[in-house]
Amino acid sequence: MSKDLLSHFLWIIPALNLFACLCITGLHRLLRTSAHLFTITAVAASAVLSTLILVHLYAEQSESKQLAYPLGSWLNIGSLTISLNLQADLLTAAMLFTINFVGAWIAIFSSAYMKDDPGFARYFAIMSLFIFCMCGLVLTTNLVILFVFWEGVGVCSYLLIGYWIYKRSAASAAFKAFLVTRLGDAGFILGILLMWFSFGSTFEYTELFSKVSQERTQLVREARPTLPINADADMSESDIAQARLNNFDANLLTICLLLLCGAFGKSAQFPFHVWLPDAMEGPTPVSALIHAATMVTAGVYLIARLTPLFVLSQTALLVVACIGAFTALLAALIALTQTDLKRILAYSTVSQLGYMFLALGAMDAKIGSLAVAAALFHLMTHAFFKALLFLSAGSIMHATANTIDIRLLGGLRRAMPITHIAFLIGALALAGIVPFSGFWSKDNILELMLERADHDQTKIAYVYYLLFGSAVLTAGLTALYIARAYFLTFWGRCRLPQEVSDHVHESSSWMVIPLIVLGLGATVAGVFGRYLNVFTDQFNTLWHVPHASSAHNEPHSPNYVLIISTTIISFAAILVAYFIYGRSSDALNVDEQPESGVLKDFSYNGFYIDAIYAAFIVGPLNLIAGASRVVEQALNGITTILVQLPKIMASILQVRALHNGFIQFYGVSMLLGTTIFIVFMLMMLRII
Amino acid sequence: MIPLTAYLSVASLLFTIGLIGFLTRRNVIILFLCVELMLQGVALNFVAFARYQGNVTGQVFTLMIFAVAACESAIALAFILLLYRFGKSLNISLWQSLHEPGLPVVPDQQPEEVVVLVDAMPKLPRAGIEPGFETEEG
Repeated sequence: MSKDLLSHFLWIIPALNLFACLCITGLHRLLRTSAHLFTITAVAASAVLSTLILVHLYAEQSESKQLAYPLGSWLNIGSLTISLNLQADLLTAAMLFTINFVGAWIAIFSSAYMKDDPGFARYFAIMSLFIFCMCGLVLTTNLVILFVFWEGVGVCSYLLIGYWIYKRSAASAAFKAFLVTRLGDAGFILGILLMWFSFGSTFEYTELFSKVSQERTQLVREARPTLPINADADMSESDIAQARLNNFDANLLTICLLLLCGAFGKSAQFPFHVWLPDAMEGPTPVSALIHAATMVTAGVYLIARLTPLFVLSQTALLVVACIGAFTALLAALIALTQTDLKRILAYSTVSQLGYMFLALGAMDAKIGSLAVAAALFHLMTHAFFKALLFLSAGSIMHATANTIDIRLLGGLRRAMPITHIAFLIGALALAGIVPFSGFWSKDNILELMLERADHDQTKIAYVYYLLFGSAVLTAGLTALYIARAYFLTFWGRCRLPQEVSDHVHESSSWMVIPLIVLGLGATVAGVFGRYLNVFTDQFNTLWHVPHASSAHNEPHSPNYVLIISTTIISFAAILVAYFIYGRSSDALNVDEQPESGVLKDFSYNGFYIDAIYAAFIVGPLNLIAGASRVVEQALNGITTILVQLPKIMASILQVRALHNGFIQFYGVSMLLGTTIFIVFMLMMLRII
Repeated sequence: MIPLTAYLSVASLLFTIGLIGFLTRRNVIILFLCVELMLQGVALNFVAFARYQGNVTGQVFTLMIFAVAACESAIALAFILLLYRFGKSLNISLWQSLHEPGLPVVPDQQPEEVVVLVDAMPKLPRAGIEPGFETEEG
């Protein structure tokens, strides 16, 4: 297929989804019950087109595997130009494929899941808008437009979390998600502004990267002490240059950290992770689409896209890795004791995103592109198996009258065989069991961490070993909590109330088909791992990652010790879960007071992070707001008194009679008054 | 070359004609036209001085005045239309009911029956349409 035609796909993909959104919005009265056709057609067509792009870019032989489509410019102010160009390299193409392919099946699932909902058309309009924003986000070539779509994604997420507007909990969850991500976005936009301030008006990725890299190389060259002929003068000069280099690095670090705020907010990393579990208030397919497969990956994409910038600031990368590992461990610990199936999956999303950030944070000059490829690989496999898990949860909710408490479920494997198999595949992939997709990507990240720690020459090498250890621990915990959820839901005795359990049934075929397709995807998505070296090659050539050695790009032999030990850990965790939850059907009872312990309480309540925020951030802000209210009321009282003054004056001076409602009388009064005033002024100025 | 004074005279003439018209006539539309005349007199002053001093500030200002005058006349005409609908007359002296309570009506040369506006106040039409999904509120 010709390259011209393919580059036209770049604008067709977002345009299709925007068109679907506009059609549904305009015609929603006519197509109450057929709105889903627009969304499904648009996103399915986009999925086909993005597959073509991905295959073409992969197969292309040239050095820079890129497609571009210029759409003109958004604004030109002086030297500042914001272009609307679209481009696709392999990173973009992989993201596009994930978004549209997973999105298409979720849209099909939703059409059955949301069938009897009164807001059917609204749901699909927002869904199309969301996919449009996400495609725009990955296709754009500069940071400003990326920020625009970034916010668009945030708005769609707000609308979909709060989709059931009449539910108070949904409304406040949407509000919370919006506020928390906004907090991160504030950092993001500050980072963009600081970048503008420091590097001039270049927001285009390629220009920005080459400019920053050149400036830094220049500074490094100046700072390097040359052979001292005149020792004093040279030393002072190189000192100055060194100071300038340090200044530059500090500036770059600030920019990176501010951009990270945005990424952490969107991708629900500590300390911004609190919004994601609450976001489960939305319909379940929304959780699958937004809070598992696509939107939360925007933060990962941002860092992957800005790799050449981040690779210059090792401190920022260390922060990424530490936050990622910490979030992964924290979320896995919280997920261990949750009783709400969707919340378990939500925390596992947070945890898996932590893995991706951990991989990105392991990036350094040597394994830069390898790290990005590992994160991207995990992102893709995670999109498949997490969407599968969420859709299975949706199928369960659909069959059991919206029961989602795993203490109430149980024994569903006979009633819902396909959902059972789908959930099992998703769970195995999440737990990292051979040969499911999650195993390959997780193993890739673990190997990468080990390699990073091994070849680190600096004093902080032990940090990377610690991070590696925590990642292995998290892998075990992941297997444990997802096995717990699986056994409690599908094994043992059915604990549902009689009137519900009599009606449990397998879902309709439009819900089952997406489960089967995504289940196949979650099983075989691991094959993408074989093509990772193409990605790393391209990243190296495109981004001019400094000192990228090609030695690491050849497929290295797998680390069998690591593979076997992680597999043993995962199996052990699953066995433990089986013995605790799988065998005894009466392990849990809702009415029974669960045995409490300090650790369990901490885990169940999410380590009280919400409570801490409430006490130390919301509390003081409320106090300030209360104080402001008192001040405002005082001011209001003063104004009320002031308003009475004219009335009092009027009654004292008896000027009420002047207000007689006759326009001409007012005209004459104004004329006289103005004349007197002018004459008076002229006399004051001694002109007459 | 026309001297500055000529422009100023025309401007002041316009202003005066407008002023006298405003104070003596009773038809609302005429009153409105008179106000516009006064405004244009002032605008002419701006242009004349701008030309005389050789800078464009005054001319720019005049353009602003035009823009504001256009908006203002749209609003004023809308008001006049509404007032006519309630009072069936364009005579300004009939609309004295906005005065302070308890004051006598100012007599005019053609005393007519004063319309009490309060009784003729409009009933607002229902705004918007019914929300579509009553069942969602359930």
